[in-house]
Amino acid sequence: MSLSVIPEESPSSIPPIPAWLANDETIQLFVVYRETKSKIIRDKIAANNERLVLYVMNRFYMKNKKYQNIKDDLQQEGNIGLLTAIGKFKYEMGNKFSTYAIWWIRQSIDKFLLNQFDVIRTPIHINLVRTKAAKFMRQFSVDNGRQPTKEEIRDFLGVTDEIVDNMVQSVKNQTVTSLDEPMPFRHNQTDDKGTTLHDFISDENQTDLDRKLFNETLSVVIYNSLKNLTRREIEILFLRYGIVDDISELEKTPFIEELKLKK
Amino acid sequence: MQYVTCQGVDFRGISKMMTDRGIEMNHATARNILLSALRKMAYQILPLYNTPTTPENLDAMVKSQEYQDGISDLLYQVYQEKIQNYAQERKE
Repeated sequence: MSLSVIPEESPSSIPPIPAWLANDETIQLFVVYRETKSKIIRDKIAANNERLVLYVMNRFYMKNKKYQNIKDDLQQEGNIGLLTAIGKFKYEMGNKFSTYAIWWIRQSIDKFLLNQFDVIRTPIHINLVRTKAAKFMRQFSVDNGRQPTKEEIRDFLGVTDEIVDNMVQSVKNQTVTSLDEPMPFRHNQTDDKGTTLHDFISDENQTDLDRKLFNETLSVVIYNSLKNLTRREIEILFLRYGIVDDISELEKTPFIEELKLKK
Repeated sequence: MQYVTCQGVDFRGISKMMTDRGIEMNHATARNILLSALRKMAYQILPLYNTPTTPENLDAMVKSQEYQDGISDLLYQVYQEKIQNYAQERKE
């Protein structure tokens, strides 16, 4: 991590520590770091605040199961964010380091997720527009009782039609996944037999033969069971279930005669 | 007892139709005849599900809303198939 973002300052220009932070050990380290730009001090501050990254991860990301598999990656990104925060922190503003660093850690992790987590990468500016649009759509539907049109979204965001189209496309892309993706089972363990998503997708053109056969059998049984009924029972059954509206309708067809019903 | 809500004729309507045709009956008789028919059909269907045809099972099945719903659909399906067959035969 480059620390060139911090301008070179002479020791005389080192600002004083706010009174309420005077006893803070981290702030003392920052004073030294501001003077010396020592990597050793920087690493010491980072080591002291390593648990802050874990706190941010557990607080904001680990509740989501899909992030649990990339815990190490998130920690690395959080550490990069922590180093950025160390480079940019100004204790003279009167804030504690942890207050400042949390935002950089989150920013770093969010940037990583936006850039690399989707199967098809979406540019960050599209993601930002999408987030903004989602907020607008939610508020719009509450206020007006309907979803906004494409033109209304475009006017609100002040972007071109192309960006709105890209945004809609990127929302669709979010659902893209690999057919060879191993299926997760309990406790995020994958199956030893190598079961993938591909194994769970049904062929929509293939009819369920068992079901079809059973339905045909059931139809035959129903038809045969009608033979055991009297003519009156059939008539009442058909009238009650709305299969015919009138008995004369039933008499027009040879249906009852075919059943050779008992009188 | 639960009855399937359907678009068919109600029991009073059925009894009136039958009485008009010379078969005197009231709404309760129409209902009893319907239940009798359902029971006879249930007797044929239960073995398909490997269930013994005991009076308790038959009673439970006839009173079941799902069974009445299913019978209604299947009867419609069987009747429509037959009607189509008759139409086909007439064309030939």
